[in-house]
Amino acid sequence: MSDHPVVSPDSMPENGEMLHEQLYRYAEDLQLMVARNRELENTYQLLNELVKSSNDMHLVTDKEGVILETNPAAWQIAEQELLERSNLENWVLASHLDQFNALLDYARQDDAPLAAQEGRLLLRRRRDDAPAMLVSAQIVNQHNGTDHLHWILRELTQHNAEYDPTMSATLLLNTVEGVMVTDQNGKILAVNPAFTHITGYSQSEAIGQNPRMLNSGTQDKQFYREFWQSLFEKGNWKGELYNKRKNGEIFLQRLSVSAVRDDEGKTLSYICIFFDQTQTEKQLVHLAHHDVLTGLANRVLLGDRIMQQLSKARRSDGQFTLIFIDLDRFKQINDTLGHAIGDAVLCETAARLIATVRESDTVARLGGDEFIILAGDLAGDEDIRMLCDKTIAALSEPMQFDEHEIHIGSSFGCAEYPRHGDTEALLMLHADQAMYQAKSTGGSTCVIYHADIDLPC
Amino acid sequence: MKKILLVDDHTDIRRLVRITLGSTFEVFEAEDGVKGLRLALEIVPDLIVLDVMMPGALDGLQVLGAIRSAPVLSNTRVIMVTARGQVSDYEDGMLRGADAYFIKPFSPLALVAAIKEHLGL
Repeated sequence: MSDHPVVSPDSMPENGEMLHEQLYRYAEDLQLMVARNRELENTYQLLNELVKSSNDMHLVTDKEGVILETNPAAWQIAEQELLERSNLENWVLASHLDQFNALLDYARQDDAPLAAQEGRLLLRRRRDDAPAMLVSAQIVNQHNGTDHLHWILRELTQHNAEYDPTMSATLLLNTVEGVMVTDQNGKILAVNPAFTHITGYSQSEAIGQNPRMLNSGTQDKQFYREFWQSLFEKGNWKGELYNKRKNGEIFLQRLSVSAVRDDEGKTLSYICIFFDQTQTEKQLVHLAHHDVLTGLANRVLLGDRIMQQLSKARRSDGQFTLIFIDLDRFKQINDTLGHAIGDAVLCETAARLIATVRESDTVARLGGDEFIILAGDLAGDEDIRMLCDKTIAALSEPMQFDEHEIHIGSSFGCAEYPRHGDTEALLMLHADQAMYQAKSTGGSTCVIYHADIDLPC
Repeated sequence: MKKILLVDDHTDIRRLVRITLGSTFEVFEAEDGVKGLRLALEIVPDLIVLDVMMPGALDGLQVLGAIRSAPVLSNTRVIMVTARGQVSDYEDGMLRGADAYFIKPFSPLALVAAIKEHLGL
């Protein structure tokens, strides 16, 4: 009482003056309220933005569960137009309807505490091919006279299935199979280089997307229905389907999808492993006909090409020449400088051979340091020598690998159809013999088969 | 709806307070102490805003005394309002059982807050 403001009685205002004073107080309070209102509006807008950009789904329903308002995150259940004015109950799967009704009943009580009530709901979604979504549901009775209930739904998987890049990065990097990890909703969390190689989508383009971007439209709804059913019931799906690469090309994919589940059986993520079937076939064909190290034709392809040349030459009385090439002292290089350098020499040799011959000619590696040129239409000692000299010169140019400068010599042995043989076997034998003779004379030379070679020398 | 009685000889002040209280209360008015006490006994308001300095047979402090001795008004809260500087009014008022005391010119926001507080709203 004693600290109450005290003003001497003689300052007491006249009545009219007092009314003015009172009005000024009203004006002051009005200013205060305007300022407070502005603050409230700012706060409201901030909250609104937060709700809008939230990853949680916010829904306002009436006391019957009819949805009145939603934030964008909620639209993963269904489009806004469908969602609003529908009853939330319609999106809850039968298994969780009891939970839903318990939450609703609790929040409907007039004396329900303001604190949120929490439960779990399994929601279906608008799209047929989208899996159901397990959410934690909070419900708040706003008690603000509007009879509105505020629901906050949070997906339970999203937080549990964060991809740990250190976990299996190495494994993912080195497989030929395309690997893709998605969260429970199909959002891509990780892909490996083979995924990029096969689909054409880079890691950054793929992560965060839905595998639907690969959909070729070839499979019908029924296919995807069975696909999801198998995933739900068995936890996996295996089969073939046509998907689409980034460049629009449709390819046959052998796919295996497995659901990763926690102890309670709740799906955390999906792991998809796939082969490109079309690619695999091409690769197999290539592998079967080429030398892995140099990429040159192998013995199988060479055999095919010789057969082609033979039948063509027989039909048209044509000619062709088989040239055997053996690198001189290659074993020495391998032994002293190591296999890595040895392999590099072989690859460089292959490149130089390819660069020297005509495009229609075949260059093959039979293994070790043995190469063969199949030169169609090449005949006559003079022409054969010209090609061989050119090639020997090309190979004798020094090769530089790291600090090593390598000079390599080569021995050539040639056999011409039909002059030196009219079968593959004979031509191979005679070319080999000629090469052997070239080698025995000191290397870096070419010998064309002649009858005398048959004699032991 | 809670009943509030305004007792003040200034029509303008009564009107201002009535506007301030808005439509959330049932508001009654009286222009002097005698009419105020009679109306209070008749309607039994939940709260009375009572001016101290009023012409007529009863001033605000006397009305307060009568209210506090009327059993029917034992639950009625009383907020006294007086002109600036009447420190003795304040002391007298609180001694006679006023629930709160405002000095003119008062802050309407503070008055509303006090009314709500005393009505348990």
